[in-house]
Order: sequence, then structure tokens, then C-alpha cells
Amino acid sequence: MAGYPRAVARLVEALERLPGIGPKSAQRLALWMLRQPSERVTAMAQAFLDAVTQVHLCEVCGFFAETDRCTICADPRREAQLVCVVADARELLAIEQTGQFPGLYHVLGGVLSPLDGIGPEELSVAGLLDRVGGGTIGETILALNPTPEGDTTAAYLARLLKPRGVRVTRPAMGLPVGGELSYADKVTLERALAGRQEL
Amino acid sequence: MFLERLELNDFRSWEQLRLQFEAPLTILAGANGQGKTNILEAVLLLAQTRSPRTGRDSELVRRGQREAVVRGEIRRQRGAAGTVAVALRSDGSKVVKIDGQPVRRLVDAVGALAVVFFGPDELRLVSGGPETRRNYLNGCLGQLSPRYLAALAGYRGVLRQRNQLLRSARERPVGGDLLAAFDDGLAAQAAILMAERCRGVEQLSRHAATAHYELSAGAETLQVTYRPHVSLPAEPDPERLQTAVLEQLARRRDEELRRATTLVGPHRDDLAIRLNEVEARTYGSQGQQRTAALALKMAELRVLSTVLDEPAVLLLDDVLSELDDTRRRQVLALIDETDQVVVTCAQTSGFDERSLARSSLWEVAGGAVVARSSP
Ligand SMILES: Nc1ncnc2c1ncn2[C@@H]1O[C@H](COP(=O)(O)OP(=O)(O)OP(=O)(O)O)[C@@H](O)[C@H]1O
Ligand SMILES: [Mg+2]
Ligand SMILES: [Zn+2]
Repeated sequence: MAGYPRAVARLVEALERLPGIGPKSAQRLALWMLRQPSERVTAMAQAFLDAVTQVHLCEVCGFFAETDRCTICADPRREAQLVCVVADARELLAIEQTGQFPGLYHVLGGVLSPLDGIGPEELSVAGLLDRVGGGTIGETILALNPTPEGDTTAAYLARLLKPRGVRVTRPAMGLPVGGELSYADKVTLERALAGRQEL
Repeated sequence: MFLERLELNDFRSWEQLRLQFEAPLTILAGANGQGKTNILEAVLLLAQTRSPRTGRDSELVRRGQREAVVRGEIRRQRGAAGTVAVALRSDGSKVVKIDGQPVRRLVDAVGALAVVFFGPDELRLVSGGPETRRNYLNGCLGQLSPRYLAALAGYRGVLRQRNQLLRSARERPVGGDLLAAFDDGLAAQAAILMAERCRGVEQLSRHAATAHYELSAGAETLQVTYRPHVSLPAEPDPERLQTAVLEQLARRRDEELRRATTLVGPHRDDLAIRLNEVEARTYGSQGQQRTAALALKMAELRVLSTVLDEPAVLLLDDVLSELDDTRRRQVLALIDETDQVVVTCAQTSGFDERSLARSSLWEVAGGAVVARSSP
């Protein structure tokens, strides 16, 4: 029985590894690619390569960066005394979209979840404490999703941060309970950050 | 509220079943193991998006099949008719659709179909362990408010996480701050759930007292109260509840670490049920316990019907044969308070003329349901 040539089969297999792509979609994508002019496909492949080789995590905050530091950390106009702690890049981008946040960020890389084997060591908690230890940070805003996991992670960070003499706040209510920050609209998010509350 | 049509595909023992309900009372009669309870379970699944009979949805899929689909068409006294459908895969995934639209969170499906289920387990509501009463409470209050379900889900979520943390503490020490953060998380969710339970039990309790008064012709008083595992502060507001839970957690910290599980919180709550001021579980006769259980189920039906502003559907699984004549008549009289009752039984001898006159009598046997013309 004849099947796809080996190179095509390997392409289908590779595409199947993408999140949300099953065998059927993978085949559809592969067949589409094979019908494209070769420059277009080469450009796509190059984009993949560039992204993974040129982008890494910012050594300060953990957001994506093309040099040692991300563009946010490298921007001298940002207020270094104010740091917004988020679970991942999606929330950072949602807050950046408001265009109103003047400070820097810290990307934890997730929230505490013993069931998934995620403890403080799996998150960049030590990195956050180091930054706070540096002495320039006056306030940390814990912008974690208002879910039980987000709440627990915020409680944990608050316990570590407060004794170090920084202000610890959380975005004000108004975010739907159990909802996600990255889904909140601009206005809601802006208001939540403006009306943040002391923990 | 009236479930007009029920369709099962590869659900439990049913490969394909289509039922069109018409009478206020439907009697499903048949020998053991013919799939009668499975039909009621399908209705419960539509109402609650899960089955109280099993923790694993995959058990509901007919053995050897990949997907079970249950669909119901509901007619309401108020508001438009609607459909609810639940599809379960053997890999455990689930899709719930209301009026053809998938719901994002299962909580959003609550209330589309409201049912009260009364089976042999419920007969043991009073005599059984705390878990039966917690299930009753969750089933009841969960149908009453999406807020309750959210609180329950939130609490169960942190509880599982915290238990895992305690288990992992056996292998390597867990920092004090980390454990304390999970205490905070647990206490916050516990407080919300406990506050919901306080409020819900108060409502239930009033209806249960009335129902019991009717059932016992005024001879006994039934008192149902919330018996939280962490005793309530004088003012049970969330903040004080949280403090109370945290205090208990601190007190039992060492024991929790030793046993690697959470020993404090509403997952160990109970209901206190007293007849004429004495504990019914310990001192009630079997008959008294059953009457009290019946009163609790009637209370559930009435609370739910009050909140919805129309009666819920009543499902009776095999309970009539276990009740004496008087109680059976009292249960069947509930038909007058509802739009629809569906009963399963082995024999049809226990029904009075009045009920039979308003019933469809269906025989369940050999993988089919057929109408029986006369009993
Ligand atoms: N996932 C499944 N796939 C196939 N058959 C199943 C499945 N789950 C349960 N069954 C079958 O369903 C039958 C039980 O059905 P059910 O409990 O509805 O019976 P019943 O008519 O209520 O009996 P009883 O009068 O004893 O209560 C059993 O024969 C069981 O093997
Ligand atoms: Mg049965
Ligand atoms: Zn950075």
C-alpha cells in the first residue's frame, strides 16, 4: 500500500506536534504547504528558526527578549520601583495593551500547583526575591488570575515579599472571580490596576 | 417543568433509546438489571452534568463504545422550551450544550433542567454516614445556585492541591511559607463554601420542618441544622470563618503532616437531624428515620421549585416498595405539587387508582421500553 513520500510523512508528523493540531489538520496543512511557492515556505521555516534561535527569556524579568534584556527592561523611561508580577507572557501582553502601566514586570512562568509538580523552584520566585533584594523596588503588584491557584500563589508571594519591606498589592476586584486576566477588556484591566489594594 | 423527550445513545446499558413523556406520572417497571435506574441517571446527568452514582464519567459510556450522548427536550411553565445535551467520551472529556450552544463552564448549565432524585440511598440520609448528607447538601444547594457550585469547585480544587502538597512533604520537606499559603488558599475557599452552606441549610431546614409536620400529622418536629466541621464563629461572615479555619489548621498541623491529608474543613461537614430535640441518627426508629429522609427530599423539591418559580421534575428510584402504605401515598401525592414524576419499580401493585389514572405504564425489558396497556 502506497502512502505519503517519507519527507511528507515527516512533515505531517512534525505539524501534529503543534498544540491543537490533530492528524487531519496536520495533513491539510502539509498538503497546503506543498502547493505554495517555495519562497513562501522558506520564509515560514526561517521565521520558525529565527524565533527559536534569536528569542530567549529576559535575564531580569523572564519575558521574551532578543538580547539579554527585553525591550521593557531596557527602556529607561519605565519606573523601576514598580513591578507587576504575572504568571505568564499572555498576562503581561494584556497589561501592556492598556498602555497605562509605567513599571516593569516579572514573569513567574506559572502558578503553584502541587498536582502538576509545580512548586516555588519551578517558578522564578528566587529571581523575584533577588530583584527585590536589590533595593530599587518599592511595590510589587501581584497580577495573578483570581482563581484558587492564583490566590494561593499570591498568598505565598505576599508572605515572602512583605518581610522584605516592599509594598505588596493586588489588582482591585472587578475582575470576574475565576476569570482570566488576559481575557479582561482594557478598561476593566486598567481600572483593576489603578485601584489595586494592599495585601 | 416537564421533560418531554429523552434520547440515550450508548449511555450505560442503552445502545439507543427514545422516550416521549406525556403523563404526569411515568412508571418504568421491569426486572432487576434491565436498565431502569440507568434511565433516571441519564435525566440526572442532564440536570447536573454529572452522575452522583459514579465519580468517573467514562463509566457512563456503554462498554466498548467511544461516546455516550444524552439529550433532553424540556418544556417550561415560564420561558421558552429548551434542549440540554451531554456528550461524554470514554477518555473522560465532556461537552454540554444548552439549546445547541456549548457551555464554557459546566456551572452555566445549572438550572436548565431541575430534578430531585429519591432512591434507596436517600432512604439512608438520616441513618447513614456524613457523606450521604454532604452529597444531599451539594446536590440540593448546587441546583439552587451557581454560586454554590463555584464555591464547591473552588474548595475541592485547593483541597486536592493541598493534599498533594502534604503527600509530597513525606518525600522532601515543604517550606513553612508554602504550606501557610495553601492554608490561606484553603481557608479562603472554605469560608465561601461554609457561608453558602449556612445560608442554604437555613432555607432547607424551614421546608424540611414543614414537610415533616405534614408527614407526621403534627406529631413530631424535625430540626435540621448545619453541623460544620470547623465550628462557626458567632458572626459567620467570610472573614471570621477564614480565621476560624486557619486556627483549626494551625492546631492540627503536625497531625496533618503525619497523615499527609487535610483534616480540617467543610469536606468533613455534616447536617444535624433531630426529631423532637433528639438526634435522629442515633435514637430514631427505622420508620422515623425514613420519614425524616422523606421530609428532607420534599424540602429539596420545594426549595428548588420556589427558587425556579416552577416545580422541578421528581425521580423516584425503587423507593415506593420500601415504604409503608401511608408513606407511599404521601410520596405519590407529590404528583400534585409537580408537573412530572418518573418512578421505577419491579412491581406495579403499590399504586393507587388515582395515580394510575394519570400515568403511563412502561415495561423495561430486553433493551427496550414498551407501553403496557393495563397493569
Ligand atoms: N457502561 C455500561 N455499559 C454497558 N452496560 C452497563 C454499563 N453500566 C451499567 N451497565 C449495565 O446496566 C445494568 C444495570 O442497569 P440498572 O441499574 O439501570 O438496572 P435496574 O433496571 O435499575 O435494576 P434494579 O431493578 O436491580 O435496580 C447492569 O446489567 C449493568 O451491567
Ligand atoms: Mg435500579
Ligand atoms: Zn525583561
